[in-house]
Amino acid sequence: MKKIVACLLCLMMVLSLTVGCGQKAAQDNAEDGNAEEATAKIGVVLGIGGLGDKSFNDNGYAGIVRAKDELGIAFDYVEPKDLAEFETYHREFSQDGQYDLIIGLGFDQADAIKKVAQEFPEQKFLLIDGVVEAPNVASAIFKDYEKACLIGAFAGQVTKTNKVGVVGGMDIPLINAFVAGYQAGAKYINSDAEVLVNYVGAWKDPNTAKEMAISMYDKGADIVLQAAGGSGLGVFSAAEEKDKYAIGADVNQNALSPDHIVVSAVRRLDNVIYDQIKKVVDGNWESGVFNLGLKEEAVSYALEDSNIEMPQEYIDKVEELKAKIIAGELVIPNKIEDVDKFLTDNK
Amino acid sequence: MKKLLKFIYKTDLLFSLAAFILALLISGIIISLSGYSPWEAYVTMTAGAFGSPNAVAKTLAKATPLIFTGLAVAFSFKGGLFNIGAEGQLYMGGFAAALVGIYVQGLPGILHLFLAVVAAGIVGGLWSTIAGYLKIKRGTHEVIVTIMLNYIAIFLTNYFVSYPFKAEGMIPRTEELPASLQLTRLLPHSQLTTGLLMGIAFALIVAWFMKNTVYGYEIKAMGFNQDAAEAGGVNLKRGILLTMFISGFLAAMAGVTEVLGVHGYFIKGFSPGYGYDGMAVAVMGRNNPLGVVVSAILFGALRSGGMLLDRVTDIPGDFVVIIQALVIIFIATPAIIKKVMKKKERRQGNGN
Repeated sequence: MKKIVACLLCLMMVLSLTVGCGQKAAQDNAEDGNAEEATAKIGVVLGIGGLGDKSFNDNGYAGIVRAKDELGIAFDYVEPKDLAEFETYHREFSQDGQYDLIIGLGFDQADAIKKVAQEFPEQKFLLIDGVVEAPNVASAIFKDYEKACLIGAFAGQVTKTNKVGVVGGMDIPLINAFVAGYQAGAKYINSDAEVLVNYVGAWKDPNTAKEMAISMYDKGADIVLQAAGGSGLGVFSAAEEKDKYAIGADVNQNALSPDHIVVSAVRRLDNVIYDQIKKVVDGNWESGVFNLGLKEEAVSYALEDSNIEMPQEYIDKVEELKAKIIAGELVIPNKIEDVDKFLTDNK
Repeated sequence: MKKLLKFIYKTDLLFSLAAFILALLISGIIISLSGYSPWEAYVTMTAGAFGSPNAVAKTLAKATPLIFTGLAVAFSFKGGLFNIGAEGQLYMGGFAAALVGIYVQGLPGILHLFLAVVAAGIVGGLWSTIAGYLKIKRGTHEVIVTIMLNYIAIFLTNYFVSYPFKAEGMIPRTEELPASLQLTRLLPHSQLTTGLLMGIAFALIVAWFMKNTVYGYEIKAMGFNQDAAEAGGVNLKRGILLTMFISGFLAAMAGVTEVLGVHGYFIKGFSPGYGYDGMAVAVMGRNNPLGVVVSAILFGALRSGGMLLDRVTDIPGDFVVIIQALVIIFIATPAIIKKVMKKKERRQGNGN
């Protein structure tokens, strides 16, 4: 017993030292906080996977950090470990009452935001990549088919065989919009281009995706786009095996296979989040559903990290196309059945 | 003799408290070694756990499922069994409650609620009894079986809620339960529900059961010494099955309060390890039902404090896990020391 008491005493003494230092640090922090009054306070509920995913979360976080640096906002963020925690965290941020905007990253937070937004009608929310229709929620969704169109335009120019492919995850509207944009872009820029389309039927089946890509390469395609989430990695290994080109999606995937991936279609969550925070700071934030595309710089393409140099004339042509889309001269179809009409209209 | 027992009992709880404080101290050192301020950490955690009515509500809300899983584990310990399967049992129970809530219709509210709760308890209890059955039939150790059953339960309910019973939308969850079935919130906007009262009631019932019923007595006897209990006329097989069933029933209640209370539907992965934390709660509560309630609240405080820590500071809320682990270590080690000391005494006694 004596020994335990002695140990306890020792520990307390050691701790009192560290506590002494700690207190100071805390005060310093507080002073820092007072010195520069934050222009707005933002709460962020990241998606599952959290920071360091080199994808969705990291990209969104970059926008918040940019807002902090350029707009002088302050923010707190949490990294939920499971779906069930979303509601708790949104509730926490809302209850706190000091956050000007609460951002939820990912469609899977829609339920949680819908529920909590109802209970806290004064609290502003931003949902990325999903829709909640409520007077205090802004929902940002992406015109992925616009970036797909630019990617298609790249593919249409890069191909030497005039055959390009796309491996989709599933035969669903979301993916078909992407495929439609891709077809439109490829054929708009290269009227001889033929687009091969196939669907894996699953998001986590790279083997099937690989088989499909190989069969496309065997049929003469020399560049294949993956639009199949986790299955898409199979497309890259097929490209490596056949020594052909591939295209990445969602985030910049060029580094995954820099000798084969020529370009990636990307979303720019950072731009969307930055813009929304800016609106909060400027006092003109509003709720609603925002369908964001090239014009808002919400979607784009990425050439960095690829070892294959894209000829400048190709890039110029894509940029020209992009300018037309932004200007509203071209309206990219988001359904496969509308592609032909788009092409005949815009010869 | 009675006084002595009482004294030991009291010191036991004191030990738990001492272990808790010691764990806080050591964690403080770990926090400062990691380059953060322990002062800031503990101030924030205290604010997060008790700083406002909302914070207290959150602490109690987090404590609610822990009371049940703590009781479940403590109950099995009392009977000399180790139910490590509370996590799986609460998923099975929660899912059963959701199914009854959604698909049984036409019953008056209170009866419907009762049915959902009982169904959950029975499903959770039977799930846990599988381990008991295998133990008496095949001699399989219940630790192994309950652990494995956890995975089966978690993935099975994951599958159910991702495919056959999935509600419209992109999230793996069931339909929302009818409002009449959802537990009343004790504080608006909080996740604190009448589930807490249910937990305290169950703790009292368990305490009464152990003290005043023949079954309770038999289970306790089994926990002290199985062979002696059997020699004394306890039906061991029945005792094991009953202990596992009741333990599973209690664990399932944690699923009930989460599904009917916090979420209002069954959602994939709703438990961040309440079943496993139940073991820590039981150990700290010294397997005493009321001790379990107290330690569940302390663990709830750690959790809600950790959440604020995550949210407003750079200090990772995961430090809470370190504190929890240290509590267990410190409670477990003095027990060893005590044992050694007792043996020494005995030897000395023999020598004289």
